Amino acid sequence: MRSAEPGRINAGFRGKLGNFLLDAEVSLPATGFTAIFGPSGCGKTTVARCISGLQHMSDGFCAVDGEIWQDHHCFRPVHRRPIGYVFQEASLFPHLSVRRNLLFGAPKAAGAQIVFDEVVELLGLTALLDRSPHRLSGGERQRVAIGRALLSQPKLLLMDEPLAALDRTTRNEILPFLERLHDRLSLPVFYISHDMTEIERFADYLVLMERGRVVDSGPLTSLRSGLRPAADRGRHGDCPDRRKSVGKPTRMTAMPTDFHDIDPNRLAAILYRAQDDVDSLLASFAEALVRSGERIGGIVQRNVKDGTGCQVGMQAIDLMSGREISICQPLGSGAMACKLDAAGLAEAAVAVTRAIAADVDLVVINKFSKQEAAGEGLRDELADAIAAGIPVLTAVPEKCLDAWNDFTGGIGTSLLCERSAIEGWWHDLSSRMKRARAARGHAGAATALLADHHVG
Amino acid sequence: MEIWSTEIRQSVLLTIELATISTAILLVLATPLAWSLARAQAWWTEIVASVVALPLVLPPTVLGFYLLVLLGPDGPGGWIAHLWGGRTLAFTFEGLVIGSVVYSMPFVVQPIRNAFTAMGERPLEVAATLRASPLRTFWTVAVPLARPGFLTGAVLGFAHTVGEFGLVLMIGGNIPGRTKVLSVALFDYVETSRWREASILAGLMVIFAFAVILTMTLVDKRAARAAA
Repeated sequence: MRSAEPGRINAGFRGKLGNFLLDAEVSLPATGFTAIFGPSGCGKTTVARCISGLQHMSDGFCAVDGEIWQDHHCFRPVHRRPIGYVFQEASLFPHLSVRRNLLFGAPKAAGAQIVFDEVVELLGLTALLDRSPHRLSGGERQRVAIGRALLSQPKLLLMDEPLAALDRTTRNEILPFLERLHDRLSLPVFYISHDMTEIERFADYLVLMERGRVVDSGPLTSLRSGLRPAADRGRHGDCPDRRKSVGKPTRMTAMPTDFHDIDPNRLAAILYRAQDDVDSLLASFAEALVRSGERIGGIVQRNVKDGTGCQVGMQAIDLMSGREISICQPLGSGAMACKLDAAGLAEAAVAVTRAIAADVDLVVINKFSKQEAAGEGLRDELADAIAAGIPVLTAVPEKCLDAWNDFTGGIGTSLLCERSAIEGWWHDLSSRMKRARAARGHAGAATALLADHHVG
Repeated sequence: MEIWSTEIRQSVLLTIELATISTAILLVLATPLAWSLARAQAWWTEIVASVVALPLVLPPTVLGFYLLVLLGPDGPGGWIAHLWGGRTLAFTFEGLVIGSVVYSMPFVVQPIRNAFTAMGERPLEVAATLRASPLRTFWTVAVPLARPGFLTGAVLGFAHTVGEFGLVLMIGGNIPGRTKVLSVALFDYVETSRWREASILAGLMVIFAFAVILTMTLVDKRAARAAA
């Protein structure tokens, strides 16, 4: 892959940045929108910075459309690479007007392919040209930054989460401009994002990254279905793939036959009412288990409160890595309920799938509520975990009990929303599992199965 | 007696001339120095910074003593003076300029360095992605963004040159029209009990100091407004 090919972008970077290990290789066509997707901290930005030359990784290779920008012998400095780079913050030059910002990187000679008037029109900047950047809104600034990058006549446009610093309204105001860019320009674009909804709107290709590595890449259409990332392919071959039969995104599916042979003791749902703080309960229970060295995985949620104790957001925590995988915004001002957004969901899905693949002793999934009842959210992951025969602990609001029973076919244990009830269940189950394991150790697999069934 | 005597006028003009030339030289030298101090990550950065900052702490007479030795007939200053047939740089206007530059350097370098540091890497990275060479980035992005730092540095450098006394006395002597600047003249008047002239000069200095501080405050305010 480390060679220059016309019509392709080949890049590979390997090296350590502090504690972070980057080992990423991509080979992509030099046309269309390529989205680089992955949880925050996975190295997306570093890859873009390496391609642009802003970051110099000594073990790196980068060739764009047959031109080598970096290999063992040469490193072309940033200002000699025909790139456009849109940063997360617009970073306009505050001492220059909008017009002079736009023209900063534009070549003086005539005959440019991307014309000033066209960009101004495309991005709706006509009225802003003589203003100072101080007098622009966040969305306007980002549009100017995009225009400025385009006018430098790049052969490759890198956009590093250009919408991440903007609020939802502003984001929605810019998205149509990006779509127009996509439709009107033949320029290859690398679009970095952790937001699936943005990516789905205009990406042609998708590169999936996780922990400094590229785990998959290809046309979006072929990857979209498998966004529960790469997890299913290859690495986790031994986890039973029951997704086809369970958890289909249809409302109130009939009881899936797959759960018939599942030990009902291994599935527990905490039934809670609106006034119960089930999130904290599950989080503190799970974190206590993690601290005591138990092998557990999945995700729990922690509410983020402000000084007055009012909930202002939510964090999902991957129990295996301890990573805070997503920060969600409240539904509205004053609303207490929070909901995982698309990126959060994708990351939560990774967390659960990884836990299943690692064959942990307990998968905690917070939770089975309205979204899951409607066939969305983490429903597939719950089904996978249950079907894999791993003990599963989840939480179900009382009003979703019927949906839960439909989903599981009525198997499993219901727990009161109390610490003692959960601990009791886990104590029973884990000691039973330990005995079974010990038996297996002594008398071989067949006996172990018998013992397990006997005690169960 | 005339208030604006030739003597007073001479020392005022000399002081302004000295301060203007020194400030110009200071800006030329301090800019690259501040830039490399702000950007370099090498271990020696802080050592260089400390050497530049020495005059902040050293008594001006100590600095003046070393400069006198260096500028004198037996030091490098004497050697340089030989180039145009002179004997020494001490007790000359040129020597005063050199002394002022050394003495006021930290007051100019520090604000410019801070301004370069405060702007961060981002504007420079943006400029590089827009094909600007490092030199063009420096002139069209870094310097304009650091303008408040330059203004502060220039005003402080000018003011400190006007106000220095110990150093001037050590290396400049007291030659009317050549090295006798305001602060030394004032000292002279007091010593010879010419209170009237002394109070005129002192009053001028107070007005000057007030003007400097007011200018600085206004510059800071404007910079803060621009940044908002």
